[in-house]
Amino acid sequence: MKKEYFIEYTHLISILLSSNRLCGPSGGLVLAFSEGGVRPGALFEFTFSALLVQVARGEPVARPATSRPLPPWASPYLEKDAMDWFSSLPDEILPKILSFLSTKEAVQTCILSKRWRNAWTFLPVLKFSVADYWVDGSFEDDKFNNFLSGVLENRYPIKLDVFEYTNAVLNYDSEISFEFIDGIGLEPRKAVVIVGRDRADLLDYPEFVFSCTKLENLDLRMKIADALPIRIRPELVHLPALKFVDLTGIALVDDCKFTQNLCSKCPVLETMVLRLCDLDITEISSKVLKELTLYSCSQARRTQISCPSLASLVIESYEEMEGFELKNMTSLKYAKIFLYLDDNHGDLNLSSLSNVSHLSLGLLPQFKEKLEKDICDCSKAFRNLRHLEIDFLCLSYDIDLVACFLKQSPFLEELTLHLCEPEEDDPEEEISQEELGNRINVLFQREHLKTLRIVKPKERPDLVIDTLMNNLRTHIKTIGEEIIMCET
Amino acid sequence: MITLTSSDGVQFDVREAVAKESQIIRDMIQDDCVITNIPLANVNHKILSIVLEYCQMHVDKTEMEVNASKHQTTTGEGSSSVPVALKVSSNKNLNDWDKEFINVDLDTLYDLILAANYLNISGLLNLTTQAAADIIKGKTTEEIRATFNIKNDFTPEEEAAIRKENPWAFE
Repeated sequence: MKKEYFIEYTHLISILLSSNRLCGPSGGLVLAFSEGGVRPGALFEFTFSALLVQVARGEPVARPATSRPLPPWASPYLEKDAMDWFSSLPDEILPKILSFLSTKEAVQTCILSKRWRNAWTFLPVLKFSVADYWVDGSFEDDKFNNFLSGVLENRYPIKLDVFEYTNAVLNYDSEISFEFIDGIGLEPRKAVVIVGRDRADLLDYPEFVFSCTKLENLDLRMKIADALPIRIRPELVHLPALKFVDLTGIALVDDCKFTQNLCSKCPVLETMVLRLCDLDITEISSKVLKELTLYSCSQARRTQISCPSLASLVIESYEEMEGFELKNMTSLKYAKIFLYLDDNHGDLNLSSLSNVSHLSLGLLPQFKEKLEKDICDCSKAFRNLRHLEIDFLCLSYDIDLVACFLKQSPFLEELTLHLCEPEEDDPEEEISQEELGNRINVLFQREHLKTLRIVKPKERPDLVIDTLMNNLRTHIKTIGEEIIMCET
Repeated sequence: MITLTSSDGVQFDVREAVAKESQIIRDMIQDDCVITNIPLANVNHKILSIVLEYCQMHVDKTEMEVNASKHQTTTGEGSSSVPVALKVSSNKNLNDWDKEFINVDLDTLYDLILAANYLNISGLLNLTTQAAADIIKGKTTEEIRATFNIKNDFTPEEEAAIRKENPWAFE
């Protein structure tokens, strides 16, 4: 209450100071003030009415005196040497600080002083780490289990914001019992489960995170020593509130139905991030997913992605991939695709991305020829495309791809080309303008391009840029802004 | 530009976007768009300059992010957030900067927490309270009491009783 009052006060003072309109309808202000429901002190009333009088008279208004007593909640840390650092912090700060500690550390603050006695029981976070019970090379299962139940029995049943479980102790046969925690009906908003073990059969994690009615954010990270992604097979997936899921190191297999369940049983799932996952699934298909990001995943077979609500798609991997079939990408605005695809590996139908406004591509040269065909055969032009970025650009191969895009995207505003490092004995450096001219199989010229940006490795000579520029000018009559920069 | 005046009368001229990192200033500006001068009676100039350094850096970074994801500004519709892909790379540098920034003594940390709380700058409040938690981490009960000047108001009997009744907490 005091805080609101103070903000209201400063606010009003500043309005009074800064506005000339006040001389007239100052009644409105007074009304707003009483509607605020705050009961100001006598000092304040005095200051305020004095101000109004001054404003009404058109006299210059003095700023509020800095010597005015501060509200008690903001009392400064005066006797620094003698005072308890925490004693005059506002009440809402202590739980905030404690929430950054592990639950074990937070619990153990209960004997600092009486003020701390029950502080931990009101925290909206639970963070359990098995490492706390790893003593002299052995794991103390009993103590960990006792701690789990002790915390859950003594904790005040306040709304749980974050549940975290970390088990990165590699090699032991755990006897951690999740029965208690799975049965207690915890309903966190966010769950983070990090498990790193020696062998897949040692893998253990609480199951309840797959069936929380209030869970909005699930972050699941698995790692075993041989680094292969792990299959998980949750018995029940019931996450009606889930909006964001981030999976690391998990083998996604059709049999386990994990992704399928996430897509079909999470009606509000907007974002899916897969990192270092092994994709052995035929499809990722969701009507509601808006953002899909795949980092460094590997692939056992071609995956179909069919997400009509998807606005952002990022696929980045330098493993050999089998490729993606993109379907129903009608809402897609942003696409970034950096993939290791060549004639023998994988496939990608880029023409299905024709609605995007921002496209960023990084592909092997061999594959780009395939793309050219795909793009030029594309019946729909890239009519929404405004920004195009092509990485690993090799002059001799990719100039046609760029030309295809220039032709197929009439409203393109900004083109960014990242030149790749020249390979040893690469004849590309010597490619003559005539030769480059001969390569043009797309005959057309567009009127205007707002911005052309070329990023080159330091060692590439300017000659290459000149050749590239000359070639691009055969396709574009006027270029608004040309930016040439070196890689940093 | 907006002028912020510290409790000890020093004026800081900052861009509106920088001042708006503070929720209470954001609310003030929203309610009254002609506001140009805001007195901050609870923050002295030393702390305010540190707070503004933080706000400036975070506004600059956010603007860079928005530039990097131009599809947002040009389409003017669609998803409200910057794609995860762009956030990841720029967040790393910013986290490093934050870590360096918050390397301050306990007195300054205390003042920064109060200022972040008063001005309602959620990023700075998280950063400062996290820093306080990091100081508690790994310390024994006695060390925590000594560091923060916490007076133990339990009798030895009371303290022993708490330990005895809650063995699970101290094993």
